[in-house]
Amino acid sequence: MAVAISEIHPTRGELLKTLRQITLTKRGYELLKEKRDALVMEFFNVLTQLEDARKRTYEVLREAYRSLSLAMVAMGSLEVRKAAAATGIELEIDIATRSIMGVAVPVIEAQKLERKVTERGYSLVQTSAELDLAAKKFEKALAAMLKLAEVEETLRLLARETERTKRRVNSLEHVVIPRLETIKKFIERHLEELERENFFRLKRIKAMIA
Amino acid sequence: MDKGMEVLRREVALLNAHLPRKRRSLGELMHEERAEIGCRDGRVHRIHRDELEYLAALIPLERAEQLMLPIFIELTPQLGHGAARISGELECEVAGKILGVGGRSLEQMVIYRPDAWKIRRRLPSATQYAFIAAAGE
Repeated sequence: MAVAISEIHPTRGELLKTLRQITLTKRGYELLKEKRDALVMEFFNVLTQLEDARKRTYEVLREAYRSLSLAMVAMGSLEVRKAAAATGIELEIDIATRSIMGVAVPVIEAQKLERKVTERGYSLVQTSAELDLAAKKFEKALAAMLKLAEVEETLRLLARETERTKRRVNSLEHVVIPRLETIKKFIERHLEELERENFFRLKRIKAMIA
Repeated sequence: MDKGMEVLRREVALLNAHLPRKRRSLGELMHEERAEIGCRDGRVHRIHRDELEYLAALIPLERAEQLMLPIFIELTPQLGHGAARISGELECEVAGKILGVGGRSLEQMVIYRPDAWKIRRRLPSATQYAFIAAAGE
């Protein structure tokens, strides 16, 4: 990318080429700047969602663990473990993507996280109502955790893309465009100098003839 | 310098690679179990079911076939920094209702960053940013 001034051919053709490059670079810079700003906006948008999702997850998990403790008190930890072992652990999660300005972020959807008491797989005779309540709350917590995972991953990916775009914008703003402007000025000055030389030569010739 | 220019050219070309190859109507997507749209970069963009339901509640049922998704929020340096445009009568109507400025029928609508933020917050997957270079350059 770096071009020494001595390597530049100060011709009109080169000047036109440089002017075209400046136009293209400025256009790219403007668009990338828009993208960077939109990404930052998205980042803060998702950040507020993350705060909400985290708060909700902690809340439902706290509730779920409280219910689990009550179930353990009512049934004993061994019975709770037995019931947990009897529960089916298969869970269908559908992970797709959506695109935010080219960043493919995950969309996690789970079908039927909350099951009926009869679908959980443990014996209803040997378990207490506290266990049912705890299971229900953990199912709710699972949904909240999936949402949290989706939002956290989205935020991580957006941060990475924002950083990348910011670097590109900065390089255009502080390196590429100033360098092109310098080349343009150098060629323009050189051409002006040639013109002055030519003018002076013509004047001298005219004086000699006269 | 040419290699650098090539990188930049590619970068600008990739700015809109996330846009759909073909937009699909709300009515069409509502009937599908998974509302997905193919993007130019080959990826698949999933639209959340709750957003589709929200949109269906915003517009009359008979017009669901006319609302094309995703709705584009067009960013162009021509409008100035931080401004964006939404095109299409129905799209403007939806945006207007989200922003609480409904009532007028517009073909185009210029919105600003806080408005775009509100729309994106309500419809994160049913809207997309489109980058449009200034004409004549």
